[in-house]
Amino acid sequence: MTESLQLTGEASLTTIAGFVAEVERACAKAGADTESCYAVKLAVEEVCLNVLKHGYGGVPGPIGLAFTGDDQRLTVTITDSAPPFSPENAPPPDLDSGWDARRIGGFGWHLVQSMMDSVEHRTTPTGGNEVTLIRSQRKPQ
Amino acid sequence: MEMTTDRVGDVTRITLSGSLDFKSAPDLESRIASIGDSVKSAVVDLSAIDYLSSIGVRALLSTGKAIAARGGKIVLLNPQELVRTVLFTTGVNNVMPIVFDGDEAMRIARGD
Repeated sequence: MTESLQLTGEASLTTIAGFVAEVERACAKAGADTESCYAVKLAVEEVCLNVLKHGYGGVPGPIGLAFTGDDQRLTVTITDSAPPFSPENAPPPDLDSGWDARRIGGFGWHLVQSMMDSVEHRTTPTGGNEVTLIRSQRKPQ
Repeated sequence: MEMTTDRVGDVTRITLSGSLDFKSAPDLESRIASIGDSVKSAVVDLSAIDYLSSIGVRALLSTGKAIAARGGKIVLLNPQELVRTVLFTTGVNNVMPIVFDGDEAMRIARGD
């Protein structure tokens, strides 16, 4: 069956915690496999934290989340009113350096792209951002 | 997230459980900072961690970097499958050995 969810609020750590918990419950209700649930939960945490930290500079601003899930795929759309960002300009994380040279950071967006099957960003007509995350369900082996 | 520590010689065993995410990572960093310089080398038992996100990865790497800067070693023990996926995707395995045997973890941390 199709499970859907619509959430809006002011991006803050408390709001994000609520969004993550609601999406986790919705994934379970949609019958998602464990790996897909984990991936979507993580992607929601990472994208929402990016909105708060980088989009709004740590000051709460409007954020919305829409989720639909069925036995085929899980789709999450996250919208904000922050200045447009360019995901392609996000600095790539340092995955290979030894301790002396290792720069720690930039993992969030990298994880989202690795764990989702599709990540699309667009600037909304009102000048904010919309990120659409799609994860196809993994069938039992 | 829960954290317990115990010490065997120069090696501190840090056992974590629960979620290592944006809600718990600051707590982990401050608790590890509070034991700070007394940690020469560490084995971090992740077997009861069921969720790890990027901020938890940062906490683990910051801890590891501090230990390495003091000449110690840090080893991750027994992460669950999806946690392991996150560790490999973020290249944590390139600086911290990830092992599945407690004795082997202790040997690596001691530098045997």
